[in-house]
Amino acid sequence: MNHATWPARVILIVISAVIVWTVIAAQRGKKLFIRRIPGLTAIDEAVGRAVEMGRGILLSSGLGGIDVVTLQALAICTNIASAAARYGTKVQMPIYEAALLPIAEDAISSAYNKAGRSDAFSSDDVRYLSNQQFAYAAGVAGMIQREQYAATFLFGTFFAESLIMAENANMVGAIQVAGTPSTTQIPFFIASCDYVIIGDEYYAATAYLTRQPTLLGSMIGQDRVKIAILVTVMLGFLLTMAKLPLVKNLFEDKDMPAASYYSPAKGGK
Amino acid sequence: MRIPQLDRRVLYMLLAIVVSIPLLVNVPLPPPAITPPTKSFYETIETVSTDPKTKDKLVIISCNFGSGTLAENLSQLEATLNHIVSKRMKFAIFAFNDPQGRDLGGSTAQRIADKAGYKYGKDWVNWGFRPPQGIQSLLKAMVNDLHGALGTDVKGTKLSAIPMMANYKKADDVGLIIEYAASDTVKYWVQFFQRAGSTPIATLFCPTSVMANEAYPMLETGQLQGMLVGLKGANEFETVMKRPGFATRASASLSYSHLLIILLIILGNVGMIQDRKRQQGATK
Amino acid sequence: MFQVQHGAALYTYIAGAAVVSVILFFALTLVPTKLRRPLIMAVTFAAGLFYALEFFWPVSGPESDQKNFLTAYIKPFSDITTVLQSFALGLGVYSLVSIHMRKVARTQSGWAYSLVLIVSMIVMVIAHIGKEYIKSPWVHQLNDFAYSGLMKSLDATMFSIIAFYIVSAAYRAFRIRSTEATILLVSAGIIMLGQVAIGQAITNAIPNEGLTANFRVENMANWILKKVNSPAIMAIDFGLGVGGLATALRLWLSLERGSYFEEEL
Repeated sequence: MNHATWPARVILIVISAVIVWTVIAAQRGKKLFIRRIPGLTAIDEAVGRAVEMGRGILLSSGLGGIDVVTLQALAICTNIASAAARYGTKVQMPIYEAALLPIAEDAISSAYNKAGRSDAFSSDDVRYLSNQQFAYAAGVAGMIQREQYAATFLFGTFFAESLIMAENANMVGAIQVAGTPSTTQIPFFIASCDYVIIGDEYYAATAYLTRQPTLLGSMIGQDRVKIAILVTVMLGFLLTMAKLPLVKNLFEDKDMPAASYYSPAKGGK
Repeated sequence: MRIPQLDRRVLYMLLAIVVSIPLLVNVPLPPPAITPPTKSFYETIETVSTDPKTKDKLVIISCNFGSGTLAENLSQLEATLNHIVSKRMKFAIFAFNDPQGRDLGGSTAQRIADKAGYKYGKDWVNWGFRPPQGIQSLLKAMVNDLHGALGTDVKGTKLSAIPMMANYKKADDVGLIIEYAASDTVKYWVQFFQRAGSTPIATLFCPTSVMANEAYPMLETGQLQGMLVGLKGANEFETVMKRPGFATRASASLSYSHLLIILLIILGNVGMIQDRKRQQGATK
Repeated sequence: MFQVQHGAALYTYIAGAAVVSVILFFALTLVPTKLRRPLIMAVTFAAGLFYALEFFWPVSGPESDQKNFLTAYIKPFSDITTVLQSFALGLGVYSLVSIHMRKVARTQSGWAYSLVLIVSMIVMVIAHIGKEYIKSPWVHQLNDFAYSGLMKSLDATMFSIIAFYIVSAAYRAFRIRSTEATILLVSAGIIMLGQVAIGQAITNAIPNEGLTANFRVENMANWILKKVNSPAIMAIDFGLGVGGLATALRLWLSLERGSYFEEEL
C-alpha cells in the first residue's frame, strides 16, 4: 500500500487516538497494572550475577538501522547499563549501524551519569564493529570469548547471526536475556538463551523497567487495540463459519492472475 | 549402560563427518515428496510462460543473497533460471540488499544464458545493484518508469539503449517477480511494486529455510504464488524439472544431518532420564 | 532544487550547503537551553508529519501513478537520509581505527589482531575503490583475492558455523523437562523429518489420499507449519505491529522527554 485507503485511514487514526488517549489518562495519574515478565525480572538477577563474578556485561542493540526497533533496544540497554553502572560493573556495547554510534554513546554515558558513575564510562566501551552481518557476529563472538562476560543482553533486530552470539555466550557460561521482534530468530534464542522476551513484551519492556505513566499508558492502549483486533477476528471467524460476510472485504485487492493454488478465495488449499 | 553427556566438540565432529561424506561419495537417497509450495511455484512459472497476457513480459530475478547462503539460494537460482530459459522468457537480474547478489546472480545467469543461447541485451540484462536505503522510493519510481528509475545496467549502458528494454518500461510490462533472499526483502516487492500497476504481478519467493516461516502467511493470503523453501525446495524443484543438480547431491547431507540431530536429542534425553533416576535413587 | 546538478552548478551547491551548515551549526549553539527541547520536538514533529501526511493525504491520478502534492518530495528526502548515513559511516570507521591504533601503539594484549584489522581495512579500501579508477591489473587481482577470495569465503564460513551451533543448542535445549518442552520436542522432530527425503521415506508406503494422507510425515509437518506456526506468527506480528505503532507515536509526538524514555515531561 503506497498510500492509505479510506479503511486504513480510519483504522490507523482510531488506533492512534486510543493509544494517545490512554497515555494522557495515565499522565493524569490513573493507576495502571502490568503483569510480571520473567525475562525482564531476570535483568536484575543477571546484573547481580555479573557483580558477584566480577565480569562484565555485553549489550547488543541488534542489526537494525535507526528505527523504532533499535531505539527501543537502546532504551532497554540504557536501563540495564544504568543498573550495572550503579554496581561498578563494566558494560560494553558493540554497534552495527555507524549512525547509531553517537546516539548509543550518549545514551550509555547518560546512564552512567544518572548512576553517579560518570568517571567509570569509557567511550571505547561503545564501539562500532562493522555493518556487515557476519563480520559483526564474528566481532561480538570474539569480544565474548576474550572478555568472558557474565551476562549478555541481546535486544533488537537480529538475523541468522543471532545463534552465533548466543552460543558463544553460552560457551563462556554467561546468563543471557534476549528480546527481538524478528520472529524467525525467536526459536534460536529460546534454544540458547536463559530468558526470551517474545512479541510485544519487547515494546512493553521499557514500561516494565521504568514504570513511567507515559509508557504504561501506551502499553495499556496497545492492549486495548489488540483486544479489538481479537474481537474482530473472532467475529469474522463466526460470520465466515455461518457464511454471512457482514461487510465486503474492506481491504479487497485485485485478484492474482496466476497459480490460484494458494488463493483461499478460489478454493485453494 | 549410562549414556554420558557429550562434549560439544564431539557433536561438531560428528556433524562435520555426516555432512562431508555425502558430498564426497554418492550416498543413496529416496526422492523427495513434492510439497504444495514447490508445486505452486512450478505451476506459476508454467502459467505465466503460457498465458498470452504474460508470456512476453519481463521476469525480474531479484538476487538479494550473499556468499553465506550460496548453498540454498544459488541452488534455487540455478534450478529456476533453467526453467525460465527453457520457456524462452526474457529476464532481468537485480539486487538491492546485498551487492554480492549482483555478482553471484550475474555470473550464474551468464553461464545458464550462454548454454541456452541467450544474448545479453536481447534476451536478458543485469540491472546491477542499488543501495537498500532508497529501495522504497526506487521501487515506487520503477512502477511507471523503469528506465528513468534504474538509469543504467551493470555495465553502465543506459537502459533505454538496450534493445530488450525497449519493450519493458513500466510495472505493467513485468509478468513475474522471483525473489531470492536470506532476509524478508520480498515484502518490498509485495508492498510497493506487485500491485502498483494495472494488474497484479505474480510473485515467487526463494528464501532460506529459516526465513520461510515468515513467508508462509503471505502464501496463505495469496500475496505470494509459490515458494521454494531452502535447499530442500531447490531439491524438490530439480526433481520436478528432472534435472538433478547440486541441491539433489547436498540434500543427502541435509537428510543425514537431520537424522543425526534427532539421534543426539534422543541420546541426550535418555542420558538425562538416567541421571534423574540415579539422583532419585541416591536421595531414597 | 532537488534536480541532479553537474559542473560549476554542482560545486556551487556543495559550497552553499557547507556555508549553510556552518551557519546553522553556530545558530543552534546560540539557542537558549530552555528552547532546545521545544526546537527538537518541533523538528521531530515536522519530519514525521511529512511522511504521515504523504501517506494519508488523498491521492489522484491514474491507478498506476497515484500521487498527492507531497509524493514528489519522497525520493529527495530519502536521498538526504542516505547521504546522512554515509557521513555516519566515516564516524564509525574513525571510532574503529582509533581504538585499534591505540592498542597497537601501546602494544596492549591482542595488538597483533588490531594491526591485522587496520591493514585489512586499508587493503580492502585500496582494492575495492581502486578497481573502479585504476586500470592496472594488480588492483583487480588484489580485489579478486581480497573480496572474492577472502571476504566471500569468510562470510560463507561464518554462516556455516551456525549449523554446528544449532546441533549443540538443540542437544542442550530439547529435553523432556515439562509438558511444553515435550510438545516442542515432538513437533520439532516431526518437522525435521518432514523436511528431508530420508524422513519422508519413513512414511512413503502410506497412500497420499484420503484419511491416510494425514499420517505421512511431510503432510504432518506442513500442517504444523501452515495451521499452527503460521497463525502464531501472524498473532505475534499483530502485537508487534501495534507495539511498533505505539512506540513510533510516542517518538513522533515526543510524549516522553529526555534521553530514550528515561525522563518524564
